[in-house]
Amino acid sequence: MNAFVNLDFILSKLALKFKQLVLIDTNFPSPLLPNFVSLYPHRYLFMPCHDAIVLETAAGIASLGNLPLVIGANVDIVDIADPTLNIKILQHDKSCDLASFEKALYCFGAGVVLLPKEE
Amino acid sequence: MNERQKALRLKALEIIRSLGKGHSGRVLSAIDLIEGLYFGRENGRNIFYYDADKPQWTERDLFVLSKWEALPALYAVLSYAGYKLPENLSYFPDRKTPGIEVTLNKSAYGICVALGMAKAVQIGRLNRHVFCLAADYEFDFGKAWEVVQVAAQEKLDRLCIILDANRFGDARIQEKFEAFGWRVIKLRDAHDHDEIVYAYMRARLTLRKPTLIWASTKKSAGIPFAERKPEYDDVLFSDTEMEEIKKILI
Repeated sequence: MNAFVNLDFILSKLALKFKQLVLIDTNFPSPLLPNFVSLYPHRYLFMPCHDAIVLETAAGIASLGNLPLVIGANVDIVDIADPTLNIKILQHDKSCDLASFEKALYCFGAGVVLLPKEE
Repeated sequence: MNERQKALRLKALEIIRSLGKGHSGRVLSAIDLIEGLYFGRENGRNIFYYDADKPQWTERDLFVLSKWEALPALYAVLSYAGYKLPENLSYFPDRKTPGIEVTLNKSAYGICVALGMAKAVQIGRLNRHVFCLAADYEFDFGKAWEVVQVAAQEKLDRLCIILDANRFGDARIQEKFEAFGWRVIKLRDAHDHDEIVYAYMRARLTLRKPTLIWASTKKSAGIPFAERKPEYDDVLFSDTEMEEIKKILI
């Protein structure tokens, strides 16, 4: 089973609740979230680029009030010039759950949000 | 050169002196491009929508200064436009300063932020434009070209990058950008107010593709004894030189 199928549906559901959620997918060569893309094509940015570029682009998106969620980036620290911008980076961790993931999305400022990976 | 351009030059040089350091050559090469954006009018309307009394006006256009060395030029223009700037100005662009949209501390990242803003404008279907002033050396970095590619892929027609090309060299900029799917507007005289304003007007009207305004500027433009002389690029002008500059500009 594809490990990211579940994530795709979770984010598609969350996008209903978080109207400002914008996904930035850095996976190469193909997008990770086909379901999300089909449901919200305008809230999705396929950007297989260097992590630093993706983070600064996310900063630009966040500066107009959106909530960018970066998927597929290999970074643990959000290194941007303005850390008050609401940027979230998705990482996988077995110890967390969906409720804490949602709670982390509501938190102010840049940061890493954790979500359990489907086995 | 019109009276406002002359006054802004003096103001920018004074700001550089008050900061204690600065890149006067690059500031003076970019100042006319910023002046044209903020003060350009077409059919009685501003080219660039802003309200100095309400810096956070939600329908304003956005200006990103990726070429952060030209920050004194932006300070001078903002001050002239009526923004209330603090007494202690920062050396790097800081979003806390009225009129500055983006906090930056590295080269070429402003272009990435401008891309993000243009994407946010597209997502929200907002009637706003994003203008970004970039330096030619920023396109020596690979990340700038990744942005160029993504902007064309996303058809960000609200994005306009102004390339301040003040060094001799790569004449294939136009071909490269057009190959990526951008519209390129080349200025014949990058210090002429009317031509700059007309280019911004055309950029605003572009549909389905981002725009590059290619401006071949001169370092230290407007100061005849320093124009295109590398030794004047990063200097603080002395009192005697400032007196001479005042004689030229006033």
